[in-house]
Amino acid sequence: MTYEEVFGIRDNPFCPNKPYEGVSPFLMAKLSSLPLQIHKAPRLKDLFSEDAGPFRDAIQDFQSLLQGYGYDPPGVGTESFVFLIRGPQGTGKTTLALWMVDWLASCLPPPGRWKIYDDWIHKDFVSAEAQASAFLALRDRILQETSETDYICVLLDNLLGGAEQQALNLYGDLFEKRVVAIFLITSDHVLLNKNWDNARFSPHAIYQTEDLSADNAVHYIRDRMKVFRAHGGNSPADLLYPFREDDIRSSLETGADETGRIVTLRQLNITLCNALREGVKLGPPGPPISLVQAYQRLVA
Amino acid sequence: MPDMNPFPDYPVAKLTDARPPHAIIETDQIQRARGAVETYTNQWPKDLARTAETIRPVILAVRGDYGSGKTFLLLDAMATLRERLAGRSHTVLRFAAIEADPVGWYQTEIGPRLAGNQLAEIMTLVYAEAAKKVASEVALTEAAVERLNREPRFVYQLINSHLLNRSRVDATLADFLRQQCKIGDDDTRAACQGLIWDQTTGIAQKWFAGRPLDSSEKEQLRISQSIITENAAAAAITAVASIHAFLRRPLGLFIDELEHLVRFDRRENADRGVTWMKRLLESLAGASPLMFVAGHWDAWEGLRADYLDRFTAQIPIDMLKLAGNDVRTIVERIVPLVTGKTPVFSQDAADAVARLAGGNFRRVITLLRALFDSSAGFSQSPAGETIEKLFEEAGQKLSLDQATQLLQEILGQRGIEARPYALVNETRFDLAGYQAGRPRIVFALRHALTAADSAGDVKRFLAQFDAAHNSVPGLIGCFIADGSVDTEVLSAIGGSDVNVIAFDLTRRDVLARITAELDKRLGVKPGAGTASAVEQLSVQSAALVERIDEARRTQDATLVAALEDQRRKLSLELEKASSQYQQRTQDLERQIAAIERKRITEIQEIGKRVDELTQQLQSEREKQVTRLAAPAESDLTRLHVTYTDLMKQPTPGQLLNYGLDSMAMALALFGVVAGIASAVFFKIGSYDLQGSVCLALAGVSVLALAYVVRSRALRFSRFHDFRVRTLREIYARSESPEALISADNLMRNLFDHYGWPEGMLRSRDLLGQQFGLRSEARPMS
Repeated sequence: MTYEEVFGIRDNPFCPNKPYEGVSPFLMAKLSSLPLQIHKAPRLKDLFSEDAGPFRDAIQDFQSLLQGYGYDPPGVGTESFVFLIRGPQGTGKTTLALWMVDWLASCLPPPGRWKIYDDWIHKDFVSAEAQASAFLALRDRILQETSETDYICVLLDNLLGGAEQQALNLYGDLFEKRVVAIFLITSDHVLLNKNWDNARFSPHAIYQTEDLSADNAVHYIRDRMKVFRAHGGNSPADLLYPFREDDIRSSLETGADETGRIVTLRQLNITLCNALREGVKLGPPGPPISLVQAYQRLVA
Repeated sequence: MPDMNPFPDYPVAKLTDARPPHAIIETDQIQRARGAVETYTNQWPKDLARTAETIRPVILAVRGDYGSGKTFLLLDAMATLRERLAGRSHTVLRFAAIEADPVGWYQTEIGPRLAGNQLAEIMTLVYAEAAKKVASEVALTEAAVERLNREPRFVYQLINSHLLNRSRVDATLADFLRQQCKIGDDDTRAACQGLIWDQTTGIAQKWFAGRPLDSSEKEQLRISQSIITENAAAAAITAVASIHAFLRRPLGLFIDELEHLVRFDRRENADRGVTWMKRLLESLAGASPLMFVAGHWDAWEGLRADYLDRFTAQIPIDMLKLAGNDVRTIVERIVPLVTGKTPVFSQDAADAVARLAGGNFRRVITLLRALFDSSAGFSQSPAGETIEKLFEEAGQKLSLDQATQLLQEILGQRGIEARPYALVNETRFDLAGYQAGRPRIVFALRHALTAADSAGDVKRFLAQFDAAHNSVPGLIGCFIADGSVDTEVLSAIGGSDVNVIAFDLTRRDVLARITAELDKRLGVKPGAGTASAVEQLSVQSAALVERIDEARRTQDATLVAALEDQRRKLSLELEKASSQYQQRTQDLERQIAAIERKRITEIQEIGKRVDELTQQLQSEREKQVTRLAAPAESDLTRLHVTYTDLMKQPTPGQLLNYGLDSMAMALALFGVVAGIASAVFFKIGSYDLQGSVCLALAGVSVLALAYVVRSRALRFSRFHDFRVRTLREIYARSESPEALISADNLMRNLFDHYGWPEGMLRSRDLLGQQFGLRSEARPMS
C-alpha cells in the first residue's frame, strides 16, 4: 500500500522515502531527526514551516537587521555580523540558521559568492577546550582558503559553554580581514541564559527557539501535509488528515502556561513519521491517527 | 581416634569479605545489632511500588578490643540487612579507616569503593526519574513512564531516539540533584551528571574515586577541581547517600577500624579526622542510611561528649573482653561435652591464656584449640611454658594470603606459571599453575570454622576439581586446609588413588611437605612414569591422532587403517580407565560426605548440650562465653548439608509415585474393573464372550500400565541424573545454599510443567545465564 492510496499524500511528509523534487537522497536522509539543509538544496525550503516555532519573528528580525540585503537587485553590504541562535535540542535551531544562510546567499549579486563553512552541523566536541582549539584551526583554514573579496559565512553548531569567548575571538579575527557572517548555535544550558552585554564582540542578534506549543504543532503538521497532499479538500481539517486538531492539541497541552511546553519539534516529527508508517500498513481507508497511541507503539 | 576438637577456629574477619557471613551465636551484641538493622528495614514497605514514609536513619557506634568480634558484628549486620531486604534493590558500602587524614582516607579507601559501576547504575535510575517526570507532563509521552518503571535503562533509548526532550530531562535532573538531593556543591553535581553518559562515565568515576583529573578531564566534566579537600570528600559521600534517599533505596554504610583515623589525629596533634567524621555523620543523618561505625576503645576515648550524640542509638554496642575466669568457664563447660571427662585446667593456666591473648576472644579460642590438641583434651593442665610456646606458634602460623603468595613463588621457581583466581573449565580456583599454556595444578585454600566445614570444603573442592579434571586429564588438585582441619578427611584423601593432594596449613612443617610433594608430582612428565592411567592413555591417544594425520598426509591407507584400529582400542581402554577414575572419585566423595555427616552430628550434639547447659547457668556472662566458645553450624555448613540432601537418590517409592500419573491410574483402575468383571464371568463357570473380552482388556491395560509406568520412571530417572549433574556444577560455582535450593525448585517445576526433555532444556538455559553453565544438547529421541 502507498501513502497516496491510504492517506492521499504522495509520501511520508515527516520522513520522505523518495527524494523531494530532485533533492539529493543524501540530503533527504534521516530528515525526521536532522536539520533541513536548505542552503544546499533550496527546494527543501518548501518543508520549512515558519510557524513551527518562533521562526517567523526570527526571520523578520533577521531580514530587518540586514535591511538593504534583500532589495531588488539584491546586494550585500560590507558589514560583518555574528548571530546567536539558542534553544533546547531538537527545536529547529540549525534549520533556522540554514534558512538564514540560504537567504544571505540569495542576496549576493552574481558573480560573487559566499563561502560557507558548515562542517560542524553534525559534530559534537567532548569539551569546550577541544572546541576552542578547533576554532583556531578553522580561523587559519578560512584565511588560507579565502581572499578579501570573498564573503564568508560560518556555522558554529553545538557551541559549548566555555568555548564562547573563543568563538567570538574567531569573529574578531575574521571581521577585520573579510566580510563575515557567523552563526553561533547552542543548546548548552550554560549559554541558554547567558548575558552577553559585557562581551567584547557580543552577538548582533540573539534568536531563541522553544519547545512546541500546541499551536506550533498544528501549524507544522498542516504545513508539511499540505506540501505532500496529492488530492483531497483544502479545508484545515482535510489538510491535517489523518491527524486531527483536537487530538494534536490534547496530546501536547500541559494545562500549564506557555512555559509548560514539553515536546520538541524533532520529537514530534519522529512520532508523526512513525505514526504514518504504521498507519499505512493498515490499508485504506486510513483511520484517523491518535498521536498518543502512535507514541505508545514507539515505546512499547 | 582422638576426640573432635570442640573449639572453632575463627578467622580474622575482613570487612571486605565478598559474602558477609552471619555470626554463629546470637550474643547480646549481635542481637542489638540485628535489632538495629530490623528497625531500619522495617521502615521499608514490602510493596516495592509503594512510596516509603519518611525514613529515619539508624546510626550505631560499636566499641571493643581487637579481635573482640567488631568486624564479625558488622558482617553479621550486613548479612542481616541483605536478608531482610531480599528482593529490594539496596546498597551496602563498607570502609575500613586507615591512618591518614580524611582526604587520604577518602582517596585510598572510600573513593575507590564508592566509584564502582553501581554508582553509575544508580545515577541511571535518577536520570530515569527525571525522564519520567518530563514524560508524565504531557499526554503524548505518558506511555514512556510505564516503560521506564519497568526498565529504567530505557531512558537512554528514549533520549538517543529523540523520543524525549533531552534538554528538558537534563534540566530536570539538575533540578533533582540540587533541590531534592540537596547537593549544593557544583563539582559534585557535575560529577553525578557525568556518570550518566558513557562519554564521561569513566572520568566521573575517576573523580569519585578521588584520583586527580587532568585539565582536559576537568573540562569535559565541567568541574573545577579533583577531590583534594575534606569538604569535597564529605560532599561526595553525602551526595551518594542523598541520591539513595531520593530514590527510596536503602543504604547501609559500615565503617570499621575508626581508631586508625583517631590515631592519625593524635600523631598530628589535631582533631581534623574526628571533626570531619562528626560533620559527616551529621550530614549523612539527613539521607537516612543505616550506619555502623566500629572502632577500638582508643578511638572513642577522649572524644567530646557531643560525639556520641551523632549516633541515633546513643548507647554504643560494647564488645566482650575475656578474663581468666571466663577462659576457665569455657574450658570447664565445653570440654566435658566432647571428652566426657572433667578437664584439668588450673586458674593460673586460664589467667595465662587470657593475659597472652589480651582478652581477645578470637585469640583465646585459637589458643584453647591448640591446648586441647597438645594436652589430649585437657587430661592434664598445660604448663605456662607450653601455653606461651603454643601462643607464639599460633602467631607465626601462615595465613592463607601468605600461603598463596608462597605457593606462587614455589611454582615460579619450578618454571610453572602461577595464575591467581584462574578459571579452569569454567570453574574458578584460588590459584592454578600452568605448564606450556595448559593447566597443570589447581589449588583451593580454605579456612574452616569447624571440622564439619573442613570436610564440606574438601567435598566441594572435589566437585570443582572433577569438573576441571574432566577437560584436563592429568590435572593435579591441591587442597590447603586451614583452621579447624579435620585430619580424618586429609587421611582419606591421602589414602585414595585420585589426583588430589591435601595439606594442613596449621602444621609447622607444611611448607616443606608441600614443596616435596609438588617436586614429586610436577617433576613427572605428563603421561609418563607414575602418572595416572587416564593421563597416560590420553597422552598416547593424542600422539596416535598426530600419527594418523601424518599417515593421511602421506596417503598411506594401510597405515591409517592400522592406526585407526589402535585408536579404537585405546579409546575403549581410556573410557574404561576414566570410568574407574570416576568411580574412585565418587568413592572418595562418599567417604568424605560420611565424615562430614558424622561431624555435623557431633556439632549438633554439642550445640544441644550447650543449650541445656546454658539454661542451667545463673551468670549471664558465663552463659554468653560458653555459647560463644562452642562450635556451631555456619553458613558453609548449611551449603554443604543442603547439597548432600539434594543429591540423594530418589527412592523406589518416589519413582513409582511419579510413574503412576493420572493416565496410569486410569489404566490401573480400568484393568482392575476389567479383571473383576472377567473373574465374575469365570466364577459363574460359563466361558463366554463377555468374560474373554474382559480378560483381554484387563491384560491389555496391565501391559499399558507397565509401559506407562516404566517410561515415566525412566524419564524421571534421566531427569534426576540431569538434576544431580546440574546441582553439582552449581555447587562448584556458588556458595549459596539458597541458590542450590532455588535451582532445584526451578528444575523440578519446569520438569513438572514441560516434561522431559523440554523441562531440562529450559531449566538449563535459565540456570546457564545465572551460573554460567553450558547449554545442554537436545537428547536423541
